Order: sequence, then structure tokens, then C-alpha cells
Amino acid sequence: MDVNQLQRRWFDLTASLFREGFLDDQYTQLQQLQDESNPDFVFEVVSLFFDDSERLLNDLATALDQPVVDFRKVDAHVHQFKGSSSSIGAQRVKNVCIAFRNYCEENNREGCWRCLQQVKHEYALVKSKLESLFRLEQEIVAAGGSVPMME
Amino acid sequence: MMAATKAPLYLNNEISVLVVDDNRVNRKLLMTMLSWAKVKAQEVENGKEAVDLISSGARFHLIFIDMEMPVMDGPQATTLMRSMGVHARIVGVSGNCRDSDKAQFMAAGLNEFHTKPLSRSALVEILHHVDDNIDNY
Repeated sequence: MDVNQLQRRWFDLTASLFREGFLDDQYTQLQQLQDESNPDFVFEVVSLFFDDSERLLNDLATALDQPVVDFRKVDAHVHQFKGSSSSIGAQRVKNVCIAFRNYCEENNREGCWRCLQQVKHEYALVKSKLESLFRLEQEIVAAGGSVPMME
Repeated sequence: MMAATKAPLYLNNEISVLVVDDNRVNRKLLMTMLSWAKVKAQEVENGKEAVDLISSGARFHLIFIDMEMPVMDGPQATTLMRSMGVHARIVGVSGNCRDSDKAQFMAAGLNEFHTKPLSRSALVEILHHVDDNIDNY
């Protein structure tokens, strides 16, 4: 596949991520911070998000599985997740976290458990899509092209 | 990868900045924005670390501080820093929070409050303000 075709695929994939609400304008802000002095910034910050998210999902599952749930602890984990998803523009993950925190405030174990399943699902989706996007960017660069920017 | 179009930021003074946030994704984002602005910055993970750093003699013109953090939160740390005579411009940052929480944070001694994540235009405005009023901080 030539560079133009790869770049078209990149535009289509990126546009679908925004259209379907996986990403919001904050992701564009990240892209705008990436330059020659910081060429892998988006990949680095999203990788941090992946690492932290996986740890937080494990911590949340453990915390909600206790005989007596410490909802303050659960809320603190969700707060972290909401902060990092918001910082990379993972809008759908952030939105589930907002609902999740409301259930924490109500000490609602069932609601929290449902939100954990939802946030796991949304996280897996956005991770898979961002990984596809990064692979495509590598292919573009390997083919001698440059990664476009979304306006 | 392609560079973004962005106007360079010109500051007259060397501004020292402290970033206080327990979330490393948020810290990385703000530190990168500050690095883009060619501003010297340090980062710590909670309010106690910020207070300890200042107690050890570190001085900053500008402090970005998160509201909810373990060990010591933003309002507690801000109150302590002000009681220690810190004149820095202190900018509280948080995700969506209740008006009462924001009011409590402001009352602790913030100069201003922003919803996270901080936009680059908001950062530029804050840096210009500190640069123009450096003697106050």
C-alpha cells in the first residue's frame, strides 16, 4: 500500500474514532504537542494511560470483590481513571467513570459492578483502536510518509 | 511525524513552576506543555511533597495543584503553603467538581481555578500573566 492510501486509511480511522465518540478534542491537543523535539509524545502518553488503566482495572476488581467494599477506595481508583482518560481524550471511558463515581457516592455495589464491566469494555475498545492507529502511523513513516494532523 | 502549527511563546522572565498531581498521565501532559513553553518545571505527586519541597527552600513563581490527591489534597496543601508565606501564583486544577468544592479550594488560597485538562491557550494566558507580574510572585 502506498503512502497516500495509508494516509487515507489514517484519516478514515481517526475520523471514525471522533465520530463514534471514542476520542474528543483533547486527543487533538495531544497531537498538537507532538513535534520534532517530541516525536513520540502521543504514543508515550497513551502508553502511560494503558499501563495505569490496566493496574486500575485490577485494583477496582479487587476492591469491589471484598466482603465489605471500601467505596472511598473504589472512588479514588475511579478518580484516577477519569483523570487519565480525560487527559488523553478517551471520552467514552471518561463518561463511564463519571457514572461510576456517582454509584460510589451512593455506596451502590451493583451499580459500581456494572460500571466496572462497562469501563473494561470501553477501555478494551479504545485501546484496540488506538493500537491500530499507532500501527498505521508506523506503516506511514516506514513507507516514507509523515503522519497527518486532524484539524 | 508531522509538526503541529503553533506560535512560539516569548516570555521576558525565567519562570519556575511546580506541578502537583498524583496522576502521572496528567503530570506528563502538563510537563510536556511547559517544556514546549520552555519553562523550567518540577513535579511532585501530592500536596505533602509540595509542602516539603517548599520547606526545604525551593521557590516557585507558579504552582499548578490538583484538588483530589492522596496523603495531602490540594486545598490542605494550598492552605499550608499560604501560611508558610508562599507568594506564588497558585492555580488549582481539577476535573468536573461541585461548586462548593471549587469554592473551598479557592478559599484555601488559590489565585485561579481551571477544569482539567488544562488547554494550551489557558496555559499561555497564565504564563503571560505571571511573566507580566513576576515581581508579585
